[in-house]
Order: sequence, then structure tokens, then C-alpha cells
Amino acid sequence: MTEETLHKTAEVHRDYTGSKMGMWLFLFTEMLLFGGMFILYAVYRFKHPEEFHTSAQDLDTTIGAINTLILLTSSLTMALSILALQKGKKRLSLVFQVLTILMGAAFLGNKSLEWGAKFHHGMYPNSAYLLTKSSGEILFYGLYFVMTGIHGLHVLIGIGVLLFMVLFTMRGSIDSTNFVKLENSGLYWHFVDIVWVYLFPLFYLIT
Amino acid sequence: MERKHEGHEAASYKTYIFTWTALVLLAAATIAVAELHMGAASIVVALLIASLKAALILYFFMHLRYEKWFFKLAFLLPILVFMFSIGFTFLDVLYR
Repeated sequence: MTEETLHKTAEVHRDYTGSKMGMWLFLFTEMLLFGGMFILYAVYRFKHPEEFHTSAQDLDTTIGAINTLILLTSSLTMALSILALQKGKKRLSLVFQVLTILMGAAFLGNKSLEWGAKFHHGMYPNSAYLLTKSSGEILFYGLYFVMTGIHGLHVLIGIGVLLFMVLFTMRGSIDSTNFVKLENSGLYWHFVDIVWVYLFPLFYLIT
Repeated sequence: MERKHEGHEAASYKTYIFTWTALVLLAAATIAVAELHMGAASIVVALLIASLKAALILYFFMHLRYEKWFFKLAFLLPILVFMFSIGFTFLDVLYR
């Protein structure tokens, strides 16, 4: 092998499986990050079933359901954007990527309306009003703000990552033969969707 | 050097739309079930539906369907770690 071909081989070298494996390993740590909080939730719900039930009544199930629909649909457009790119349809892929970002933003918009209403009623971590409540309710709202907050932060990060993917797709640095970046962003986005799939019934639908 | 790019064969648009339809129906089901006020069983049903949704997302949207066996099995590891953690936590909580 000549010097030149060696150089060329090095240039096009891509480790598809390695990239994927790295992303999955990162997602495993994310699973355990949220897992720790779900364990806390399970213990405190077990200890204060009544308070968790009454607190959950005060959450807006309609906004929760709309946000569930938004995130599930954004996962669809995310998956479709990868498929479109694999088939070489760059424009279509970009449309789906932008739709995914817009739905992520809509999710956060709803979330801020929801939190805003709670703050308006004096409900926020360590607020004077919240501290007059029973310990079960304080724990419920503590977990609610922390878990949906960290989840919301993940949606925000996902939007940031996808903005880069839009840029990369437009520039052509990801295309129908080299799309692992977009695929890994998709893995992240879908993971965040899965977290919400558990958060929604556990916080909004306690009966 | 082999030119074929790695990565799996593409799914179809139809598969993804079916998956999404199933996910939306399951989300509706979880709300409907909560309305039934089944007491202690409701948390079990809610978690079962959520896990079914998670499985659909993992298998179709996250492409586990097309992945090598390593990926298919590896994600069970953190789930196992989580199960152990929650199991032993509850042994402590229940029998303290």
C-alpha cells in the first residue's frame, strides 16, 4: 500500500458500530440518572400514597396529554427524517428535522405555561405556600419539579443538538451514506421521549 | 477496501406511521385506564402500558429491530441494574 492510499483510507475511516455503541453507553448512564429519581419517587409514593394522589389531582392532565401527543409525534418525525436522509431525500429530511425541533419547542412552551401557573399559585420548590403543606405533598412537588425539570432540560439539549444536525445536513457533512450523527441524535431524542412515557402516568394519572 | 457503507437497511415510512399510531392509542388507553379508578392495580397497568410504549420506541424508532445482537441485549444491563437497585431499596423500606 502506498503512502497516498494509506492516507486516503485514514480519511474515510468511519466506525459506524463504534459510534452507535458510544451513544448507547451514554444512554445507559442517562437511564440510571433518571432511574435514581424513579427509585426516590417509588419509595416516597409508597410511603405517602394519599398525598401523592391528592397532589396529582392538581396537575393539568390535558396539558400533560397534549405534551404526550407532541413528543410521540416528534419521535415519528425524528425517525422519518433519518429514513428520508437514508433514501437520499435531503429536503424532506430537513423538513422532518425542523418539525421535530418545532414540536420540542412546543413541548417546552406548554411546560412553561404549566410551571408558570404553578408559580403563580405560589407553588415552587421551597416556597412559603408549599412548605405549609403535608410532607407527602412537598415530596410530590419536589419530585415533580426536579424530574420534569431535568426532562425539560433534556428536551432543550435535544433541540440544540438537532439545530446542529440541520446545519450539518444543509452543509452536506451528513448525507445518505454518512448519517450516524443524525441517527445518534435520534437515539437521544427517542430516549427523552421514553422518559416522558413514564413521567406522564406517574405524575398526572395517579388514581 | 470494501465500499459498502455500514448501517442497516432502511425501514419504511409505513412502519413508522403504524408505530406512531400504536403509541398514540396506548397513550389514550393509559388515560382511559386512569379514569376507571382501579386502585392499587392502576399503577401496575400504567407501568405495563408505559413499558409497552417504551418497547415500541426502542424496537422501531431506535432501530433495535435492525441492530446486531450486542445492541439488542446490552440495553438490558442498565435495566437489570435498575431492577436490583429498586428491589434492594424496597427490601430496606419494607423490612426496616
